[in-house]
Amino acid sequence: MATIYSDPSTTIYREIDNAVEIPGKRAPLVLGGRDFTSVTEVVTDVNLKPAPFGWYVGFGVAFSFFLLYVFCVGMLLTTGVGVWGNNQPVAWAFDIINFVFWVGIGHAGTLISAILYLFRQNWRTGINRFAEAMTIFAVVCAGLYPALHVGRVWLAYWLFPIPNQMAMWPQARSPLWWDVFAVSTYATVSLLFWYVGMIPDLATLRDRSKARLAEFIYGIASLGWNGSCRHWHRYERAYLLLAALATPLVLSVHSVVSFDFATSQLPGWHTTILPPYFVAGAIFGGFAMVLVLAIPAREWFGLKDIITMRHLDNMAKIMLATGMIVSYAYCMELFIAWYSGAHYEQSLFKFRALGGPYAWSFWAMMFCNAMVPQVLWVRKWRMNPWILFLVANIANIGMWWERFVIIVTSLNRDFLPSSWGLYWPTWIEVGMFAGSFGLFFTLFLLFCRFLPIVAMAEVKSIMPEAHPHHQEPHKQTHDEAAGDYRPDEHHVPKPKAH
Amino acid sequence: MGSHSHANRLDSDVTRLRPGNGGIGIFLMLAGLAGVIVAAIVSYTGAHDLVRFYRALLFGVAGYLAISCSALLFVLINHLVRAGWITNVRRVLETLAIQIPLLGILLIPTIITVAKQDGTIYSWAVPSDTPEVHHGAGDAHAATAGDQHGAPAAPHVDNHAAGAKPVHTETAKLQHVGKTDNIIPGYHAGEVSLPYPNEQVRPGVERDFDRLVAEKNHGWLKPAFWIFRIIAYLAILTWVAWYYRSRSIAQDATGDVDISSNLQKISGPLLMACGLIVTFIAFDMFMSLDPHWFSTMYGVYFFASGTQAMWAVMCLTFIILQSRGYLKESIGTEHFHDMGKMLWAFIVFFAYIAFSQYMLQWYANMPEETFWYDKRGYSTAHPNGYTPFALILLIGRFIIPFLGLVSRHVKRNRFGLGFWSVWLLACFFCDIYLLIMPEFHWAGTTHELRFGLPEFLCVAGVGALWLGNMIRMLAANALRPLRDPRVHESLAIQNI
Repeated sequence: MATIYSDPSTTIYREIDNAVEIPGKRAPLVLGGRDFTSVTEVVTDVNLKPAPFGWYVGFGVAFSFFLLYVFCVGMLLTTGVGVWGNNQPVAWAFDIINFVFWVGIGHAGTLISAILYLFRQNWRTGINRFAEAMTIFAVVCAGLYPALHVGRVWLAYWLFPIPNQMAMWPQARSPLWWDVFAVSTYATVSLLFWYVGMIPDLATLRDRSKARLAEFIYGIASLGWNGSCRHWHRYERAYLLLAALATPLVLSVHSVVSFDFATSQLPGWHTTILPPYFVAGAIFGGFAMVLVLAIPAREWFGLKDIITMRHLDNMAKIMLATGMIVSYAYCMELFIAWYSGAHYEQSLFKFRALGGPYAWSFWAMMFCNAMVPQVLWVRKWRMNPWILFLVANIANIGMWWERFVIIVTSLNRDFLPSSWGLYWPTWIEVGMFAGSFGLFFTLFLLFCRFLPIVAMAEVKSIMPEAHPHHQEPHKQTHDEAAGDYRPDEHHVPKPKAH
Repeated sequence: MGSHSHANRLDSDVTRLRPGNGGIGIFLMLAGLAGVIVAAIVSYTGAHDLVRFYRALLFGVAGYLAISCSALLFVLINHLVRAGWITNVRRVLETLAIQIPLLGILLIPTIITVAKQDGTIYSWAVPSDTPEVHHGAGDAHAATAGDQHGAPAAPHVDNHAAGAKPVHTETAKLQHVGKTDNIIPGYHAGEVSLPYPNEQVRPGVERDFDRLVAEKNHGWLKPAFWIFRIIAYLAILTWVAWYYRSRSIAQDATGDVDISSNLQKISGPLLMACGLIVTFIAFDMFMSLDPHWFSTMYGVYFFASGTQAMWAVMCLTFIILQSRGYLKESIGTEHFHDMGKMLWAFIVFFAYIAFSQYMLQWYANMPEETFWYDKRGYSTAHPNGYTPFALILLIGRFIIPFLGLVSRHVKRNRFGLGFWSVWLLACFFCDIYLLIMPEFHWAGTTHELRFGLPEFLCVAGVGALWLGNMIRMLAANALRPLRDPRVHESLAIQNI
């Protein structure tokens, strides 16, 4: 095991278990003996070759659900918010649950592209592009919920402080209004980040596409990129700056979303750990969604050399870590509710976990988010994509239940027992939620078809060929004291083809 | 940097403290011990008996404990994520962590106060009798009994400025529970339930029964259980710190790669355990100073605050070591840049955590929470002696250093990084002061700022003990991991 990828005679990396890393050496991140050309080919083939039949099937299903979404939204707009089941005391329900759910999903992309970039985590290059795309589509799904919840959607622009003759201004003390800015800033920066990162790859597609129209559109989108040093220099500056700007946004968006709850005086909502707890939960859910998308994508699009088991392994570990942080927050809430001696807190948590009508949902959440991810401790199970896929799906479900638990169980038992009430969604709410997945997957499948789903330029930058001394003969050494560290010393210089 | 010259460069790296520097450590320790003893003498001969010393000592230990706990968590994180860059600075991190047992010894007086159950430090440690027993204890209750079903805080109005008094929501509830209970809102609990000898007890509030505190005294904060927990926490942390440091030192001799693998393997579960322990150290030792107050964020706050200070200590340590000619080949500007980035990141993270905790309690404005901030002068309505400290946290610990350290040029400049490290450490101790000292009430005064010779000597004395022991332990081994497999990777890092 220990010498697999430092053995110079090994030229075929597909057999390598790159999820094992020997201290002092870094495992290769691109397998299959690929060079720059073959990386370009395998990625651009997804766009430039005719779509497989499965893509049309998937798109058809996704688009059908999207039509369901359109229909349900039409019902909502023509009839009113009364088509939803939320009412006193559960005045917030599916709309906010799903808003928070989708915003949470939308965290992984920017975390991968910004925070992991600042942490010099090279493995992020294999997955960052479609994680960012996923982020943007998730934010689209999220943003629609509050926009539709305002009731009179045609007046939603009142959310912005636009001077008007009625001198009506938004309530700046409301965290809901902070959300407008938090989410729209996040969406803007994520979109910019995604697009800027894509420019070199769009130019590659421009250069390789045969169809006139595609060439024209990719040509416009790639902004005249010609790969000169000056372009690269500015590109990398812009990328670093956007990464630095996006990093606090990863924390701020979900923190502001948590303020919607935590600034209130409602037991179950008002707790100080909520901001970091929400952020950790968002990363947990976001990575779960990245895994849900990555595991089939690497299989169907032939990307197993680029999105390797190491990538899946790392994502699984991040899920495990963030899942533990979320569990920590659950425990802190329970402990402090007990420790505080605060009557209302204690009652709420008793209702939530033990006696209340939604106690089952609390345990569903605990099962999905705190217990199931424990299987990721076992390396053998992390190495099994089926198990990972299952755990990631369960985590997604669990994160949805978490928002249900926070919102519905805190509201349904009002302070006065005479005001207690239950909530159950109407078919329109369920349809909208299912339909929002349709919207999400429709956008995602379009992205897979028309945009480069792997950041080719970035993947190449972490391959051995990118190393300045790559072609020089390199002595293998295992004695650190006499060694010469080279980040990719385990790689074998490939024989030159040209 | 020329990658082929690493091996030669490392040959001339000075990795051992010169003989005699260990002696400096021992001298510092003796000076620190003397400082602590003088603090005790000054306190004993002053107006407050040894009480002031006990309190000052807890304040003195708290900051270093936060730093050492954070260092231990970062040693574990470093192994967990297989970090490369940190390898060459890790030995100091390990040595910071292994100071936990020393700090544990310095916490013995604190533990004694709990064992004596006299409420010198923790008001909950006083044995709480049943309300019936207390009812007859003071004739003051007769006067207040008539008010039981009136306005919740009525019994105390005559003792305090009525306008400034928060109404504790617990009060209303508990008054229905025990008719003879005289519930003290959290705001005032510290003042009235501390029957230590020199306290000038006001008539009418003597030995009031506080059901909330009484419940905790029999539950989570039962003195024997508390002492057991604190000892267990410190013992576990000590073991982990010792284990990681001793394995790392063993690797200096053997260069055994398996040591790195094994330390990594166990780092995940240990990080979880130690994370929980640090949280509960924060809850049990510091949050419980006011047993009425609670915040789920408090453990994270303690970690964030300590980590910021820990990176400041790291930056300063390496600036000093390099100025004396040590590690000049193995630690470069890139390492300072990275440590500076961690420091800056934790300026932001601490601000985020501190702001979130404050803003949420301020916004919800519930008296069972806000009294804690009110006591610390965070309120514009009732500023007190602690208000400048609260402002230091906002301005001195966030806004100014945020701007000052944002530039890469400052992080890569030894003077710039050193300046901001000292600045942030000073602000860190203001934070620790603000966390602890407002909980203590002195005869005839409320919320009065108290920083005198005993407090200064305790912070400086514990600091000298801590630093001296660190120097002593650093002198005993190499200043960096010598044969860790990632030494060369750490050397090769480059910030873009």
